Amino acid sequence: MGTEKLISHADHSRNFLSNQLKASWFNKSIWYQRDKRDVATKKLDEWETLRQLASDIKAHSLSKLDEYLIEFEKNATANGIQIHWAEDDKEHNKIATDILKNHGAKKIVKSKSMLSEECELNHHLEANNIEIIESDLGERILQFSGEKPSHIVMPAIHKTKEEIGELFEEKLNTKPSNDPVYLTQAARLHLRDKFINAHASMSGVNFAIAETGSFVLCTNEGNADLGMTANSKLHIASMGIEKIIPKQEHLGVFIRMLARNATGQPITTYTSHFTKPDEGAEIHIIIVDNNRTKLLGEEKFNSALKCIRCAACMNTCPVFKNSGGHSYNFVIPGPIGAILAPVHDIKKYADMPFASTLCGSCTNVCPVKINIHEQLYDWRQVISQKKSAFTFKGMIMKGAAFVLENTWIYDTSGKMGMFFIKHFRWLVTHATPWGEGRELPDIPKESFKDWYKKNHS
Amino acid sequence: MGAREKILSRIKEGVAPAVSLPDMSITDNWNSDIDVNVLKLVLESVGGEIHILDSVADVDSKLKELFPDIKMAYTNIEGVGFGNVNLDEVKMAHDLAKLEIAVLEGEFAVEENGSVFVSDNKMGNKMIPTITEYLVLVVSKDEIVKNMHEAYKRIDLKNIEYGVFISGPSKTADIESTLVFGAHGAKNLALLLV
Ligand code: SF4
Repeated sequence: MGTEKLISHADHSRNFLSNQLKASWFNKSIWYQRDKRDVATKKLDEWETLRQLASDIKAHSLSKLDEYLIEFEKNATANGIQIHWAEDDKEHNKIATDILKNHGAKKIVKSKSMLSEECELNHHLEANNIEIIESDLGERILQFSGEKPSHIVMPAIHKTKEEIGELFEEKLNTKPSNDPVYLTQAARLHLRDKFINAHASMSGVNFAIAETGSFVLCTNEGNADLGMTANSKLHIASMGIEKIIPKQEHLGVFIRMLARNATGQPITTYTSHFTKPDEGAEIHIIIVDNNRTKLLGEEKFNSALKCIRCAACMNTCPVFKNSGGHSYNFVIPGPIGAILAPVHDIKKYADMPFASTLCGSCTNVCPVKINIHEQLYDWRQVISQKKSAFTFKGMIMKGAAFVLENTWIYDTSGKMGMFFIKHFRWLVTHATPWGEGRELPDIPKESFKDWYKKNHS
Repeated sequence: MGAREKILSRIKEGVAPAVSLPDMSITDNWNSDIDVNVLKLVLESVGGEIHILDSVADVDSKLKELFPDIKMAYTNIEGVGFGNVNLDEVKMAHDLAKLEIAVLEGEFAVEENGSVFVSDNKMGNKMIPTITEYLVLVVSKDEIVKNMHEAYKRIDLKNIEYGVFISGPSKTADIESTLVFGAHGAKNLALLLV
C-alpha cells in the first residue's frame, strides 16, 4: 500500500479546482439540485415526521434483517422469482454471468445500478464476451467516455453539453450540436434499437418488500421498464441485503421522500413494482453482501445501511461541490460514500472521512436520519488510531486532519473558531485543497452567540 | 456452508439496535378531501396534461380531436373505438416499436404527485405504457387518492405481476441538468378524467 492513495482525494481536488471555470460551473449545478430539493420538501408539512418513520422502518429492518430476507426469499420464490446469494462482488459477477451464459444471452441492456458499479460487473461481462449496454442516458454517456459515475443520481453531472455533443458526434454520428433535446433524441433512437434487440435485461433494486416478495425500481427515463418488458424473457436484478423493507404499506414513506429529496420531483416518473415473471420468462434476484454484514457488526457505523441513495447529502456538501464526485476514489462519492468506503478497505479509503468540513448539512437533509457527520468524525478517530500502520504523507494530510479533527474550532461559542480562523487563515484555506483559491469571509468582531444575546434577550 | 447460510449467520452476529416498527396509522392524518385542481397543477408541473370530460362516452371524440392524424394506435378500453393495433399480431418488441398512441385505463390517480397507477392486467402488453410515443390514461374522477400512503392501501402487490405509477412523460436531465421529455418512455402523457 503506497502512501499515494492516502491523499488522493486531496490530489484529485486540487486537479479539479485547477479549472476554475468548470469548477464554478459544477458548483452551481450542484446548488441547483439542492435548491430544488429544498422547495419540494418544504411543501410537505409532515416532512420531519416522514423522516422519523423512514428512519425507524429502516432501523427496524436492519435489526431483523435475516428474518426479512428469509421472508422475502420465500415469497419471491413462491411468485416464481429465482433467488441467489452472493458473499462478494466476485460471486455476484459469476452468478450473473452463469445465468446469462445458460440462456445464451449475449446482448444485455442494463438500467442504473450502483451495486453493479460496486461489483464492476460490466468489465466482467465484457471479458466474457457479453455486450452490456447501459440504458440510463447518463450512464451511457459515461460508457462512451470510459468514465465512472461522479454522482449516484446524475452520473454524468460533471460533463458539459459541449463534451457530450463531441462524444455523440464520435460515437453516434450526430451532427455537431450541444442541444440537450437533440442529443437526448439521438440517444433515444440509438438505445431503442438496443432495447428491442436485447437478449436480457439487468437492473438494481430500490426497495424489496418482504411481505410480498416484490421489488421496486424508480427511474425517470423508463429504461428499467422498457428493458424488462420489451425483452421480458430474462431479467437479473442485483440487490444489497439492506434494500429490504417489511411491508407494502412502508413503501409510501420512502416513495414520498426519495424523488423529492433527490431532484425535487414529487415522485420519479416511473415507480415500478415487479412481483412475478411473465409466463415462460425468468426473473433472478442476486442478494449481495460484499461487506454489508461487516458494517452491520460496527456499532457506530451500521446505521449507514439505512441509506436509500437519494444523493441529497452530496448535493448539499460543501466539499463535494468543490471537489467533484471523482475526487473520491470509492464508487459512492460524497458524505455517504465517505462513511461507507472505510469498511471496504480502511487503508485504501483512509482519507475519505477527512474530505468533509463536518458542517452537518448532510445529516440535516438525510431522509433516513443517518448521523453522517458524526460518523465521519468517528471514522477519523478510528483511522487516526491506526495511523502508524499507514503513514500520512506530508503536511497537507496532517494539516487537514489537524484542522478537521479538532472539534473545538466548531465550539458553539464560536470564539475559539474565530480566533483560529483569524490567526491560521492560511491553514484553513490551504491545508485542504478544496479551500485553495477560496478566501474566507472577514471575521465578525463578535460571535453569533454574543450577537444574539445582545440583540434578542 | 453456502453463501446464503454464511450471510444469514453473519447478519445474526450484527449489532443493529432493536427498534420496533412505527405505528403507520399516523399517515391517516394526512388524508383529506381531494382537490382536482391540485392534481392538475402537479401533473402539469411534471410535463403532463389533463382533460376533464363529462363521461367515458366523450373519450372517443376527445381522442379524435387530440390526434387527428394517427397511423398506429392501441386501446383496450371497452367502448372506445380509437385504435387499430391487434395484439394477437404482436409477437415481439419490433411489432410495437412504431406505436404512436396508447390509450389505457389507469386504476387511480394520486393528487400529490400527478401519477396514475397502471397494472399489467390493463396494459394489453406490458411494454405498451413505455414503448408508445404518446400515452393517454383514462381514470374516473372518483378514483383519485390524496397521497402515496392512500395509494398503497388501494393496491395489493401480491396480486399483480407488474404495476407502475406513471407521473407525466418520460424525462431526463442527464445533459447539464436540462430537463428533456421523452428519454425512453412516452414523450407525452395526457390524463383524461371521466
Ligand atoms: S446518506 Fe441519506 S442523504 Fe445521503 S444518499 Fe443516503 S439517504 Fe440520501
